[in-house]
Amino acid sequence: MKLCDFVVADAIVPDLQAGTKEQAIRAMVASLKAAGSVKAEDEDGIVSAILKREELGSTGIGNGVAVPHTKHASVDKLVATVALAREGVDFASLDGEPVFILFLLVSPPDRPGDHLRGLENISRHLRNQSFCKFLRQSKTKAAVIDLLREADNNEIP
Amino acid sequence: METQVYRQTVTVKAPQGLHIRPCTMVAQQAMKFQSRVRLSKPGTQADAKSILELMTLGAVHGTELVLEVEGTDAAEAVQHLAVLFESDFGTAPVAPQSSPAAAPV
Repeated sequence: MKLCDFVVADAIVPDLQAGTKEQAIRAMVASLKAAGSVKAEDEDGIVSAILKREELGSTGIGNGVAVPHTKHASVDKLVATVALAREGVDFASLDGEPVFILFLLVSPPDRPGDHLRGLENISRHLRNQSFCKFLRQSKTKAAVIDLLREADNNEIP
Repeated sequence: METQVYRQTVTVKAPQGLHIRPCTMVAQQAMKFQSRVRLSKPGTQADAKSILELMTLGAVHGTELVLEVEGTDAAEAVQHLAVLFESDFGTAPVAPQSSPAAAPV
């Protein structure tokens, strides 16, 4: 599984304006809707489900990264988007630090394996400091996509 | 205090695998100890104090992982973490002595 297989290029948010966790999640789901990856009528339900999941424990996993997610019948395959928050968002992360890189995932309810493979893939790249640095420097959708493609091809040192 | 190394195999019982919530629980527990804590499967090794690294294991239901703990509080740490896996991250009861006590290596 590669990043470009499930990250929706049109839904990338290279300059996320969000003061809170909820605003960040809403903006990212809205972007998936605008890209046609989730149905308009499911938008609020997906946001609620993701916020409910956050109540169980923050998906701010440290290193300035958050991975909010949910399962939802709106999708028949794993879809995700990336957002970059220049100012950082308070995500109640385990390490107490704000998050700058967000990967939001929506996966079909009956395919937990896809969700796990998506997480494995994202985390493998995020543990590479160069990838995180270049990602935070990306200013446009195209720059983010180029970087994801390079990561998929193992071209990042 | 003497540094000890403990190694024990643990199994991922969660039907959904080692997703973020169990990874977070493992990291939170591991961080309580001074010892270095690692979990590995063939080809992949993770610092158990990092959620991000634990996620790279992509451990699905039934995966056997090697838990390796090294440090002055290793005995306590290995026991705590083994119970966490044994109890399926707090959702299943743990029978007394259901997991064989780890011995230092």
